[in-house]
Amino acid sequence: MADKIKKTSMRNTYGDILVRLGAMYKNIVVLDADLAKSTQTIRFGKTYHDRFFDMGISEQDMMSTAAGLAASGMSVFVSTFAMFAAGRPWEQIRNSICYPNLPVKIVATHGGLSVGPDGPTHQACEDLAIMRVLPNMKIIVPADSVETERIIEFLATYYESPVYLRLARMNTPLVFNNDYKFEFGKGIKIKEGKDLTIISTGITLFNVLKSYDILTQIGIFPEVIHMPTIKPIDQQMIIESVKKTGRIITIEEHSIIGGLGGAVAEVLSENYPAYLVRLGIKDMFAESGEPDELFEKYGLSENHIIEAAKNIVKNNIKIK
Amino acid sequence: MKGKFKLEDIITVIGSINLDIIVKTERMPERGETLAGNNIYYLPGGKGANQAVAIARLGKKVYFIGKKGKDIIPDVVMKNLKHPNINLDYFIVDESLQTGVALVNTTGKRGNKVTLYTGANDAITEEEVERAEEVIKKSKVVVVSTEIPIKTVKKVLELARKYGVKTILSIGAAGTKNREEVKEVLHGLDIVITNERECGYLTNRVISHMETGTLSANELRKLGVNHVIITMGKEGTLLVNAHGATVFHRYGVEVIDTIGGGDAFVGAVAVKIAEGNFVIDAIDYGNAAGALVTMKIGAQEGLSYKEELEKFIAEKKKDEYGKVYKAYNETIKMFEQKSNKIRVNIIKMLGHAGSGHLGGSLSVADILAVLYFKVMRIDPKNPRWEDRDRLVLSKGHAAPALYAALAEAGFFSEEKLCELRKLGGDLSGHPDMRKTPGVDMTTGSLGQGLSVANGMTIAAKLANKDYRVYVLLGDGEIQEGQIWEAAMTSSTRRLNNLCAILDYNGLQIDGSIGEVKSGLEPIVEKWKAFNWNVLEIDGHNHEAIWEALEDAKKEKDMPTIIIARTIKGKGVSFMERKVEYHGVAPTEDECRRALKELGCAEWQTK
Repeated sequence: MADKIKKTSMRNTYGDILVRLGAMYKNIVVLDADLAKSTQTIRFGKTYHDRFFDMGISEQDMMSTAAGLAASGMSVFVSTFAMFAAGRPWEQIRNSICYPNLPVKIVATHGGLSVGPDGPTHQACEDLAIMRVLPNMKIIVPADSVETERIIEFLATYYESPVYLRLARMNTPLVFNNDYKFEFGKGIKIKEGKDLTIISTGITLFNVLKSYDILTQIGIFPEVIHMPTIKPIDQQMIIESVKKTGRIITIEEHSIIGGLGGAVAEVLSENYPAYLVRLGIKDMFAESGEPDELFEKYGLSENHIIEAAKNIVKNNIKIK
Repeated sequence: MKGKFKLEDIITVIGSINLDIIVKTERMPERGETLAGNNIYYLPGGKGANQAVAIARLGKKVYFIGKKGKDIIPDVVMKNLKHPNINLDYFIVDESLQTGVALVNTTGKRGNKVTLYTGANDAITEEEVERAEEVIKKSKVVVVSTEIPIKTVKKVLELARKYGVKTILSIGAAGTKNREEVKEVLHGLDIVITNERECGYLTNRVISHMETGTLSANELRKLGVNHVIITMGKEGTLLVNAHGATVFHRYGVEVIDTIGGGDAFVGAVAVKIAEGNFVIDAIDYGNAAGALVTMKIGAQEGLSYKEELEKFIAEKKKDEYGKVYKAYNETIKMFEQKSNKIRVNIIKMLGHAGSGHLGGSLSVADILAVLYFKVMRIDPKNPRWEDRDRLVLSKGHAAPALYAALAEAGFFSEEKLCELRKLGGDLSGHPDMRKTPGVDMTTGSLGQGLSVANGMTIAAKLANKDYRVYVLLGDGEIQEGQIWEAAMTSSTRRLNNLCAILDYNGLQIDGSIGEVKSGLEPIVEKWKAFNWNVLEIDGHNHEAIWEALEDAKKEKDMPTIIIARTIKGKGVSFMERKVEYHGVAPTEDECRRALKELGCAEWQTK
């Protein structure tokens, strides 16, 4: 499964795959808001000058323009930092994209804490929540470059609805190999287990895998599920797993409110009430720092996962 | 009372007399620039003298009170004052002073600039006007201008009020006076006539359109003026009084020199007021007189005689569309019928729905009629046709107007219109492209439509298609910052197949555009500065709308915006220009009255 420690950049992958897909699909257009060199859409722009639109620092204009392009049959990718992709133009996304159900692909880079030193103004830890409440919107958060590549390939010809795809800033270790197949709306069972279920999304999967090795050594066997599609979420997989384990830890690079943890809580409480620990940013603003330091301080490192797992298993916490 | 006039409708004019030295140039020189003019003219002028001549030529007896000194050019300033209708018994010549001189730079229709040496005008004293008390007492109207000392103006107005004589203050050269002093004399005035610059100086505001004009006029009204009239060049004339603000369109003529236009206007208004007419009729007469004088160089040379002016008005009135737009053919007739149908259906729909946006729907009816029944390439049988022209109704609250147009064009049946705002219906409160055939974009949240239209236009270019994209913007809507983001995108991408139309009706929910948030103006310059091709039209003149939309198609390099000056609530007299009708449905009684005005008798409640 994992090529150890080899780190790649999701953004570079995104830029490269866009160039490849651009040759195959002449209706792909890419928009950016003066961050093309950061999001790596510049790679597409250099190759297909006429199909690349740097909209300048005007995200609201960008989203509505994307709506107009999508309404006219284009396969539209829109990129900027997650903060400015979800937050600033939220109402444009709601009214000009989601309500008319126009298939705009919003690829938001620099999601979560991984933007690190830029500080809280740029750390988008609420984007999944505010995108999740939008009718018609679909949400995907890949774990590594391989998965990113497969998702972008899928999205190139996806016209059913708008999609919010969130990428991390930092270079991330590969967890999937080239056999990986992306299935929209499906979770991926990474490890079979029995004592508890750990569900992650995005780059936190790597920390889950690190904690898995340590937990199994001390006799705790978690079931590990990776959930790239947060909306629609794979209810069936969650319910089946929790019927077996009775308790769940979710972990995400996002507020514990409204993201993966929120989605899982909704599924559980309506279908199979079970004990749930949500790891994530605890309704607060973080601070500047290196991503690893922030992950440690704000509760996303493997240590936090191990602690949480040990606590609920040792104390046998379950809902009766 | 001495003098030769019998007691009839006499008018007294107290004001300035000048020698106008005029040089005509192609344009105004910039600061530090010298421009050569092609001729020099020495002509009689001064507001008071001009007004007196204007009144005399229109057949009224006039006393002119003013003061001149030694002339630097002889036999000019008094030339036209030697008229049987003009009495100069109280006119003063004081050779120890110099006659006033106005250095005029005129450019023809681009307006003029005046530098004034006030000379003898500044020496008319209160005592000198008091001597004419008997004349003032017998006058129907007293016209006084601010080019003489303000304390003298004050004295004149005191005398006039003492005898209940109607007063007109013509504000000129206000910049040479103390602003507060001028304001002090306003209390109790019947009519103040000024232009946008002078009024702007008085109220410390830049007046460039009717909205800011109304704000300034209301400030003057608060100081005690009954009617404030602002002449605004090509914008027309604005009247603000107890009934609110009214705009009078100017008469279209070939302008040679704008000098004297204001005084011809004042003279003609004074004549009509002296005859006992309403101010609104006086203004129309004044506009015509103002237009005629601009066809000749100089302030007095082109002042018209009564017969000439009345003939001019009669000719203009014959043709409803005025000089510039006069074709009344089958197409225009069709536009009228279609827009009337749209308006009728707007009233009916809102009456049935019990809510919705009335004023802004009525204001765009004419624009939509020209778009959907002439200009746009559409196929109502195939609403999703790839090569169709698109319309983004960015001011989505005008949905009733759009639905009425779509039904009339045949996208769906007219019966469907009663589904507006109803549960389970296909006509949402704001346009929904997934529900209503013919709706090209879902809108309703203001400020987003121009960006969407940009996207559609870019898509056309990428797909090598020649369809055009139209986007209808509201004037309040463009307060949204996103509009200006999008305006830059349109010009960056050189979207010449995009045409925006601004429904400039001047009102938004909370009040007039200028009151709520100033800075919309100068609107033409603003869009030009964003590298747009800008056209400006009367948004209810079908031929003008049609012509502008066709002109826009010829643009090869830039996006076009048509600034359509419209009237909110247009077509229903009691809804016009009323902010109260922005977002309310008409009552049953209002529906009945409105439909009657629109020539539609049937109205049944369902």
